Amino acid sequence: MQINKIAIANRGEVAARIIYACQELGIGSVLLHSECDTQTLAYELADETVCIGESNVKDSYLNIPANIQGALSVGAEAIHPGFGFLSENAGFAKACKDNKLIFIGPSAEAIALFGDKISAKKLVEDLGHSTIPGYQGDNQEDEYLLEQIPKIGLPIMIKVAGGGGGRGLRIVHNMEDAKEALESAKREGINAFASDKVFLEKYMDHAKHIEVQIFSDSQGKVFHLQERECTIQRRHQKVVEEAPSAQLDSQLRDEILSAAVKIAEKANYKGAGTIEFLVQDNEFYFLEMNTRLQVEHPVTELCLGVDLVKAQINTAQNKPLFWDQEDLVARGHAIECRIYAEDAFNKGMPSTGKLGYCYYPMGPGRRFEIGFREGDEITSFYDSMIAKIVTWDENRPRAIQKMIRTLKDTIIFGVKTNIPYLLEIVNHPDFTSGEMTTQFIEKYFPNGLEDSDLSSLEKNVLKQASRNLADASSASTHIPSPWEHSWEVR
Amino acid sequence: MKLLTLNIDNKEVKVKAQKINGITWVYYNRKILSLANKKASHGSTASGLQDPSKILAPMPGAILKISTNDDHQYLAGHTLIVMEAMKMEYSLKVIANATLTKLNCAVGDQVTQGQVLAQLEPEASHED
Repeated sequence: MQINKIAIANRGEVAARIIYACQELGIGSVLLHSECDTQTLAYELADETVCIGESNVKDSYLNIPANIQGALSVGAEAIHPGFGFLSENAGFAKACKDNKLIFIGPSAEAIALFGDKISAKKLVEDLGHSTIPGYQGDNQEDEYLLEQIPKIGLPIMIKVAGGGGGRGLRIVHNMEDAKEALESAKREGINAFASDKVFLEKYMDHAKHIEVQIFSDSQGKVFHLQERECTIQRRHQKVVEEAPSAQLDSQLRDEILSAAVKIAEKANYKGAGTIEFLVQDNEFYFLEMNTRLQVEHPVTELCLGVDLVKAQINTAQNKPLFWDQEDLVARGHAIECRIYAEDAFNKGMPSTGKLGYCYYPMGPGRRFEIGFREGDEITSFYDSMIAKIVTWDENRPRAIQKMIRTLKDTIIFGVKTNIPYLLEIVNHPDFTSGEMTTQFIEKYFPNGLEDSDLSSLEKNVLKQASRNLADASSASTHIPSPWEHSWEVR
Repeated sequence: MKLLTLNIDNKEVKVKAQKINGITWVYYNRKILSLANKKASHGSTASGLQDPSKILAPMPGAILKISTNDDHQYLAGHTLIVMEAMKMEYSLKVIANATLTKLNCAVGDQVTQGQVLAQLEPEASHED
């Protein structure tokens, strides 16, 4: 079976990533985009573009009929969902099948199985592996759920059953906050995942986030592509990721890798997927499985010398892969930093606007996943990731060194970014030693960075530069902000 | 973007710089600086600069929840409005004990940056 044209139901850097793979495989690409997304890199790169709706995600990137229609209208045979948006929506996978479009991803049944975090936990428990203790029953009444909390023991986490990607999670440290946290989690569940079913888990307070990239070929043979560590998270959103993990007992690593393969086999999984675990006190606990490409897939690609997107496309065409399990050995070390449009000195408050000059310092072992360029707009309709910077070197200290230099040499004008924050993180002794836990940010940078006064030299440079530049109005229209939670860990 | 050669303390300094919507951006000494840098950060962290009689939308986004009570009186720290912007949920709080006088938004509204979402009358201070 040969696919000639792939529609991309996504935006930003991942859309560009998929288009590059299509170009290299000689497959046509169609970008399904929202009204406001016409000034982006993916829009320029795609062979064809179809506007599928208004800027609001509900009308475009989350609109199943509009995406299907868009793909059919130009004769695409397959849809790649990227990550986020409809990538883990079983209804979308089914709608593709019903319309004779190949969904580049697992079956609708596998998505549904792992999309319900409660059924996923049951599958893993049936295999004899540990999951995080808690309550995952059907009684969803607020009062009953609140009664379960003391039985599990504080602190606990409230999780939306249909959630994922770090959304729909609330930590409860004391009972007074429990009711509001429960309401808020249920509200986010309704808004983001159309279901307010929740479950409760004991909060793991000194764990590492370890995940396994797995890939099942068109014949159903499951490979593992080693592990990644994504312990550095802000409000459950990953910020810095790496492969292999910074610190993991080799026997425990083998156990985790083989557990991941068994989970994928049990679910008759097809294509790329990631099984996430928490590791605490030399024990591992299943967290969830993401049935899609991950944001942090480049660190695996750099260490293993594979191309996961091309592997996905080939598998969708029932073509063989280019690797065997014994080829999949990590070499060296890779680190990824996510560049977000947010003010590092202002609790991570999101920053929107038109991007100005952007400079990414190319060099050996440096990979830039770029979605936006000068003149492109960073809007509040979508998440605030502008780019990803990935460095690879022979070992972890060198990969860190390279990341530090690369971050320092990167220039982005027009919106505030988290680059100063990333620099503090990758320079921190707890990170460089590899001993960090998921509490890293809460512990060391709960409010982002302290506002540092500009030196008189810097002020002078800015003033002189301002006088030397074209005479736009110098009045800044700053609005005092009542945001209080933008960078606080909840 | 322009490459500028500036004279700082009698030394030649070369920088990359650009002015966008009135804000000057400079890359100098491996750091990105912007002229509104300091002002912007102070405005939102120092409570003294916040107006307790208004809740403004600090960015465009959607209103998810409004938490009011019958007498419309709120203690400092009460979350009056919950917004969603850029995939994240944020709480907008009352910063001083106050009475709500006017609510200018409803759940589901898309609001623009700087829009006055709620007007409040702060409680008179009793410590003279």
